Amino acid sequence: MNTLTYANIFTIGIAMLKAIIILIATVAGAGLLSWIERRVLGWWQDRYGPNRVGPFGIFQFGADMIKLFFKEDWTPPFADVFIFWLAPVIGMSALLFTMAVVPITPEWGITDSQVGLLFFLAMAGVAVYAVLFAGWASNSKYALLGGLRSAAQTLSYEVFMGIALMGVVMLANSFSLYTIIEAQKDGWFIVPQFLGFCAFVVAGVAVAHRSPFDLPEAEQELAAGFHTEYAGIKWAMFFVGEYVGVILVSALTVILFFGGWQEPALLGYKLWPDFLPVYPFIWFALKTSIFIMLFILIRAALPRPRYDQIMDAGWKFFLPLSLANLLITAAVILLQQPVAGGA
Amino acid sequence: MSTQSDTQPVATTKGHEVVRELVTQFGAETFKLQATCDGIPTLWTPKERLLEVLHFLRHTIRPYVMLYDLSAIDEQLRTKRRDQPPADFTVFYHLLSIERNSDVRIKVALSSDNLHLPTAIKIWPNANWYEREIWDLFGIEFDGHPLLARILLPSNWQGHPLRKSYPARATEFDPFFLDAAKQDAAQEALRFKPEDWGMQLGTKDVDYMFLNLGPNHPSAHGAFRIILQLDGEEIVDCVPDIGYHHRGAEKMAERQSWHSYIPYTDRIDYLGGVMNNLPYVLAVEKLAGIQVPERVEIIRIMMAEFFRITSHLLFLGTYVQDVGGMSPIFFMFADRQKAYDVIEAVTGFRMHPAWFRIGGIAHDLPTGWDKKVKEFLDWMPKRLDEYYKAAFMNGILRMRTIDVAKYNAEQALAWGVTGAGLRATGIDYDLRKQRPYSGYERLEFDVPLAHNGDAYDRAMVRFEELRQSLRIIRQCLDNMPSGPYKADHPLTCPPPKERTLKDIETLINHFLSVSWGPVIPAGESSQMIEATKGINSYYIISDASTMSYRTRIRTPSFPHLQQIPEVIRGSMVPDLIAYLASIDFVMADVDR
Amino acid sequence: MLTPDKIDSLAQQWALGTFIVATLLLCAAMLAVSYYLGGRYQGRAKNDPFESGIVSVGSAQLRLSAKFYLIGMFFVIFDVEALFLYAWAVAVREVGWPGFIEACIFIVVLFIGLIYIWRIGALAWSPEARRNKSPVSTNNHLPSNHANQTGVMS
Repeated sequence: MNTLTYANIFTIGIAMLKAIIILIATVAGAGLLSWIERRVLGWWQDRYGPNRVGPFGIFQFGADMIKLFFKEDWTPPFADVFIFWLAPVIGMSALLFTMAVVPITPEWGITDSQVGLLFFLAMAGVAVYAVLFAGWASNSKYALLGGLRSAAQTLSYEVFMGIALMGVVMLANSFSLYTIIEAQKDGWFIVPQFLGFCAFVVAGVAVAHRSPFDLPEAEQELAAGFHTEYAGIKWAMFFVGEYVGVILVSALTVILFFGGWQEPALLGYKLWPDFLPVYPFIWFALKTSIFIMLFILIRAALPRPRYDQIMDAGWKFFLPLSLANLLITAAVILLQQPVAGGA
Repeated sequence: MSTQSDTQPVATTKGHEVVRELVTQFGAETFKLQATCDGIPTLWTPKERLLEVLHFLRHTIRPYVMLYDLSAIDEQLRTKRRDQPPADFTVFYHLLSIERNSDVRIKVALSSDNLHLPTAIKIWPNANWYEREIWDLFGIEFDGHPLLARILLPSNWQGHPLRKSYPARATEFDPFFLDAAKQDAAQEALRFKPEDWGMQLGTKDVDYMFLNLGPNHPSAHGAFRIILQLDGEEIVDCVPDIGYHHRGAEKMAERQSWHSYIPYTDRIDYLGGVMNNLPYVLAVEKLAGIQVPERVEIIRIMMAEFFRITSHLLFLGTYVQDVGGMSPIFFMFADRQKAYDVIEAVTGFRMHPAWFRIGGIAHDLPTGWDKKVKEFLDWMPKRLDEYYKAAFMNGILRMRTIDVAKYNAEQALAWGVTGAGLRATGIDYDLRKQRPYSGYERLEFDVPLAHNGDAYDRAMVRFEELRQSLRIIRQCLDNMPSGPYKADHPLTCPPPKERTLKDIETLINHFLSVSWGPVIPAGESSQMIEATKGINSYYIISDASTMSYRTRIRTPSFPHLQQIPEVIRGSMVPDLIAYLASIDFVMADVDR
Repeated sequence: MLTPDKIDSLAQQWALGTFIVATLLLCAAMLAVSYYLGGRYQGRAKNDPFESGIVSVGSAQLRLSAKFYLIGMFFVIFDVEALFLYAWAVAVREVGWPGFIEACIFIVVLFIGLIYIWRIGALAWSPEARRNKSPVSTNNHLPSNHANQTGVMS
């Protein structure tokens, strides 16, 4: 019963190796993204961005990391030491954990969890603690204000983020992200779930604390917000966490609404002729990159709303919208069902 | 002008309209009328009747709604006062009436043994900071002032620097060392004590947070500190604290020759460049009786408008950035560089050319200047249209700024607000139109107005002003008069050199004028201009010397910051940021 | 022998475990490396919290206005109730129309709750002053060159 053959152990070993590769690729991707973002912003803003380290400045992130490793690892004497150290660890790892349930291609993915989507929602909830802990443990006023804003904003947006995604869950009849992708074989969910998509993208930007929902660290208002007292590598971990969040939310948008690794298909029509080759990873990477670029473009283009406006939008617009989306989706499914069952 | 008698009794002067009104109200014997070169009726009023007079002027028909300026003069070393009433110190109130479009200056004589005056806060709320400034720099006390604390200097400072007895040079002091103890004392002096300001520490249920926003903060626009009393994110009250950028510009004026002070003026509103030179040289020219050629006037206007453009572009960029939009500022910086290219080609410098001279400008326009100016005029309008579409029509920006930090015309006037902040409340008051100076009457332009008085309107007024400035520059380009770039006057500085090698008299005159500097005739003069940030003026007193006896610099940003608490109470921190951005101030302009 | 399915699930579990452990190890390693590589410097004001360069008044750990706790409570209320909807989402086909009607009733109740807290002003995030602030003054549209005639200070 419990005997494992070498072949089995090899299979398990390969799976573990893949997990490590995915981890490294994600973190490296997050690092690289910091360079890409600066270059792309520079391009949009008529300036260069980092272009000195390596070709096109591509090693900028490496140089930054080396610098950060050698910076003083300062813990403020007025801080709550344990929580102060814990916060960046949560900040970096919470959303990173979610990568474990993200199907990149049919072969590449760490685990096909039956509750993959719930796992993401849970981890998004845990990620709030990073900012909250950082704000509180710093024992500094700007950090505290940033932490409070973050807590209020993320809590408010998580309420409807979950509900917004339930439309997708209904259509796929599963919380498993693999099943959700499979269910989009004949048509991406962007069409039937357009409202859900809008709500999710907004909530996703808010959960990743990206502009224009970067209130917790709104530089113009709170200096550096929750990470005011952070320096060196601990600060960098928040930074990496933010970019992991960007990658993750982009990947999830693709998985939930744009068919994941699959080639384009809308409303039952395949838009990709069968005789052309299919590269699941390229599709996934391409679509995810588009959303990552969208994140950056939003940052370049939009001012930041005020705290009360963000809260109003969440509670008074997106929450009712998500609930309505849920009911409409259910009603449509049920209206179609007797026909399907009777046939 | 200096040959006339400086002071005449009221009874024998027909005088100005306001002088007649005052004489009718208070009797001729109450006042002594003083003649000045700037045409502003200047009346010496006895200390006992001061408040009555001020109150009357504030509430008369067509009232003097604005306390435009309030400062003091140490008269103790002044020799050429003529028949001005005896005084050790003089406090002057410069009042402005929008309806009359004219001013009046009320002067009060004080003797050293009794440096007390009643406060005017009840009449004009913005007297508060001015009175603190006078206390800080002259040591004159205002009775009834709620908190007569130092404002420009640290609270642990010794002495009152604008007194003539106070040394002006570092060499007159012991060498300064900043040791740990002094550093600690200075830091401790900055600690905010809510009790001093009558602020509660909290209510039964809630602790208020006292938060220092600035002097080291990304949105404080320089070394500006504002202490917030916060309930969550709501601003219960706040105390603006200035002085971190104080350089003693007024004191320095008393130790620089008339000519060598020009570069200091550039750095008052450090974004205004030669625009800062303008009120100073105009005031000195009035005193010296210099009439500059038309070409000089138009060149001055053109360069000043260039600086209005660079300043407004920086304002708009930081404004959008402060509400979170990161991109426009980069584009606007590129535009500013193009403007600076023109400025550099003409003046030789970019930000602080110090290019105007008493009686002219430093040199004539270079060959090919018109091509450069034209390039800029062709470049800019397209960009402005883009900014309007991309940044100012943006829904989030409008949401953030419309109806935020709103004040009405009444409040604006009471607090001494000038410039775009005043015109955004619907008051059509632009000095270039109302009191044209330096040849603005010859140019066509409109004065943009808005009526809502909120953060958005203030930006939009400035945005429109950019277009008007381009229009003015275009007219200067098309109609540049020919002629000399310097007035032919003995006090022009530096004097024309051509004839110096021909006769010894001119050479001597040139030598003295260049080495010591010109001796400007005794008298008083002032000039107000519509600067980038509001009305800027220099009130200059000459005691017939190579240096100014007293130079009072009235800057627009100072009263604008004083108004903050009234406007922002009950709003949130992000509103404060949008408000600060919409004021358009630089701390050098506030602190001098 | 294990079935391929079992092996697959076992492999997934190991992979998940590896991923989580490796992530935490990576975090720990980053912190540790920096701890040992980073320099140590002393400065006179280094150990003060950042407050724009001015010494702080009062503690940063204070009793805050209840608005922030309200949000926490709403979150608990709405998110926990949303969980029931999660369960319904995967069962929508099985429970059919009766389930839909029940869900409708549930959502309507939730909605009424939302409207209730909205009406009582618990969702009004902006400060009281702004909400009550009618335009500062109605007579602020002064015609050009016509200033007010009334005193500002009463």
